[in-house]
Amino acid sequence: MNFYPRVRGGSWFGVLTQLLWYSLFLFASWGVYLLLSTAKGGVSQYLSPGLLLVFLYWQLVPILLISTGASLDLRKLVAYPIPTGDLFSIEVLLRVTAAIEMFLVLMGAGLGLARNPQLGFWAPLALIPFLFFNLYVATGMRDLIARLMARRRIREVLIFLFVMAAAAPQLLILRDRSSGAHLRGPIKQALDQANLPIWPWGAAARLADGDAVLVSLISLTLWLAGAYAFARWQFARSLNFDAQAASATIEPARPTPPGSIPLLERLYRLPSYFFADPLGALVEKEVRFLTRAPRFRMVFFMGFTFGMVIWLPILLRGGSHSPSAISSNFLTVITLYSMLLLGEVCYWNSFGFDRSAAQAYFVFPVPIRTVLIAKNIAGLFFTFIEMTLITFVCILLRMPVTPQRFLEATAVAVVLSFFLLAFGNLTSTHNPRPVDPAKSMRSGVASRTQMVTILIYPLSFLPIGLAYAARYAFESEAAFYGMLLLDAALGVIIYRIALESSVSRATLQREQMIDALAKNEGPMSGLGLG
Amino acid sequence: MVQVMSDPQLGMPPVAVEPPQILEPPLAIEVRGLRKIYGNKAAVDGVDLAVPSGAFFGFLGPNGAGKTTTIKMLMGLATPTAGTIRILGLPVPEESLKIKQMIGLVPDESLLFDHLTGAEFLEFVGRLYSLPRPMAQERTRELLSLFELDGNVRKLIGEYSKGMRKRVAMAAALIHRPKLFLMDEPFEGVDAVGARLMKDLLLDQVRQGATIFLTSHVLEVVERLCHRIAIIHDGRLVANGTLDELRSGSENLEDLFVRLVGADRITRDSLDWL
Repeated sequence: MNFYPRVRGGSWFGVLTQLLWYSLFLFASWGVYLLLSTAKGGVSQYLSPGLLLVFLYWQLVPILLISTGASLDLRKLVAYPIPTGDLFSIEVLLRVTAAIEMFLVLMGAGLGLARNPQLGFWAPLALIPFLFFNLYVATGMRDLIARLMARRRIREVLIFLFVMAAAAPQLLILRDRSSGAHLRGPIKQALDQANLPIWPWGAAARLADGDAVLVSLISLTLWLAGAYAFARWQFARSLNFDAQAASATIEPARPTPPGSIPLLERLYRLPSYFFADPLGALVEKEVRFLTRAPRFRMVFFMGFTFGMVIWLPILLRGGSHSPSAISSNFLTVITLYSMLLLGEVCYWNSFGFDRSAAQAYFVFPVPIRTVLIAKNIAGLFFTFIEMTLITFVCILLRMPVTPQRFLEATAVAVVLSFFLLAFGNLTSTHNPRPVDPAKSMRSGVASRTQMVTILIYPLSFLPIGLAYAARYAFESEAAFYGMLLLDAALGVIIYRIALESSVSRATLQREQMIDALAKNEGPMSGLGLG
Repeated sequence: MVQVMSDPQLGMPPVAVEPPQILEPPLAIEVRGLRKIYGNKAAVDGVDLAVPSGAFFGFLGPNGAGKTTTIKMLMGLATPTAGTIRILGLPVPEESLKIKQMIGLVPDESLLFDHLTGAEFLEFVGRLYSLPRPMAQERTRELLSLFELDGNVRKLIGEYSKGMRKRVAMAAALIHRPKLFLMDEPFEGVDAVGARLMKDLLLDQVRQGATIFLTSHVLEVVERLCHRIAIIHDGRLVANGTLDELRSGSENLEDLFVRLVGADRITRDSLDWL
């Protein structure tokens, strides 16, 4: 039973950021309305590529953001006498939450079509089957991906495919860095073909335009029926899916020669060679635990792959003739970006994965200070493994990785870590929230996470920025490293103060902490947990 | 020391029994005036408890009576609003670290980390209780074998059944040979064979001088194992003593329990439509 009042800190900020975000799309929706309400001479030429973009956004963006939106927890609902059809209908409607932005844009399009004097009154109705087509495809895709993500091995392959899919356009551009001219042809061709009634977006646009009505109607009906069948099929499979069995450890114990220790086990035990128990035991536990948590593996993998994919074109576009600040510090930039990704797990909510088991730290004979330090050491351990991998990938891509650049990236990462860990310990003890380590894709974005990302990251990066400003102002490496040294001293002081504050908070408010971490999701996930 | 307290809600008359004039063993748990208030509700309201060393002590009560809150305060997971706690002669929270070193815990909510194997968890716990790694590994092997958890050493705790989780939690409570066990529903979800094993182990520990403080809803188990029992209802102790001292006539523990905490509920809760 929970007697504590709900902590609402940060919710106003979440509302504000969401309001801003959706206002942008309302504005876009208004633009679409204006365009379509005044368009003359066939709206399908604008509408079909627009609907294609809507489709792509609706289906791909949730995957790329590793977020599925709200959904029903079928494991909890399947025991109750609720007709499967009802559950399916709710699940379909919940797919709106995965892309509310596109729902707004379609509303603008519908109003624009309705107001266009050259079109019949039925024109906006053509968007309704297209809307349901998207909802059904999104339902099927979500179920399919959620099931695949729950399977060991397949999950890793899938993540790799996502990264490659995200990388493909960047790599195409990189292939001909002088211009993207060679891409214009295929893109134009794709947009032209989007208007054909064989595609659902083309058929919906033509239908709205009153052009090729019969063919478009048949095409759209077939697409809709196909999407519905796909969604029902995937939903039925998810209904009977045993996630626990799929993620179970199925390999039998591999025989090892007596006295020998497997390589991975050596990695796990590495911290214990440097730290005495109980610190060594705690760090070792963190390393073992995180290495096996699908959510962490996803974030870690994204750190050195997605980070490269996002930054590489910007870095390389700088070229050797006029290197930008970013391109000349590529290793540092990618390392900092990976720390941003790792932050969710390693810094900001370090008790999140432990959930209710976090109470163990309060009953075992270990000071909570030792626990926090152990979690910090584990975070640093993974940050530096990540950095090593980034350096390795950079070398593979034949980027100019020099010892100086490596040293600089390491120094910056170390100094930044003090600040991130200091703020992270505070947020971990002041705002702990449970995170399911088994879920690779998060089901929602907590407003507190947004607040942390928007407020604390710039604050943490500020001292590093000052070091770069010193280098720029004095044109001196000594000024840069001198400033960095000052930052490090400041970071250590802040870290120590924050650690004491966090220890005090965790000791005094342990009940609230344990209670917050032990919270479970209801039958609908994605409405609270990060 | 025998105390049967009055409960005004149940209309029970107060019964006071003089403490016997014999030399009593030192107390493993000593609680005075323990209170825990959430908002304006007292989950535990002025509880006094004295658990002698070497006793098998059963702490009973209906759902929501305050059992778990009490045991959480003893474990150091919750801070009392008022009152004092001494465990193994040491005050809580001043000597918490020393106390934690000497107690073994099986709480209701799991202390288990799902992404560790049973062996890794036991070794981890052993090392936190200051056992050297080789000794922790040796005891882990023996405990896994004893609790029949050595079948699949690579299986993660997250994949364990409820009974297996309880068994590994019990093994973790034993690994450092504690002097006092605090257990919240230790037999819940455990099969008959596992429960028998756990009971035998606990009785053996008591024979060796350990003290066990457990809560359970399985009254037969408590009746068979416990030397002394206390019953809590609405945050207050309504009975505390040996079973022989508490029951009247030939009633068993279930009769006693229902008489003290459930008689009015049984008649009141009958539904016309059911």
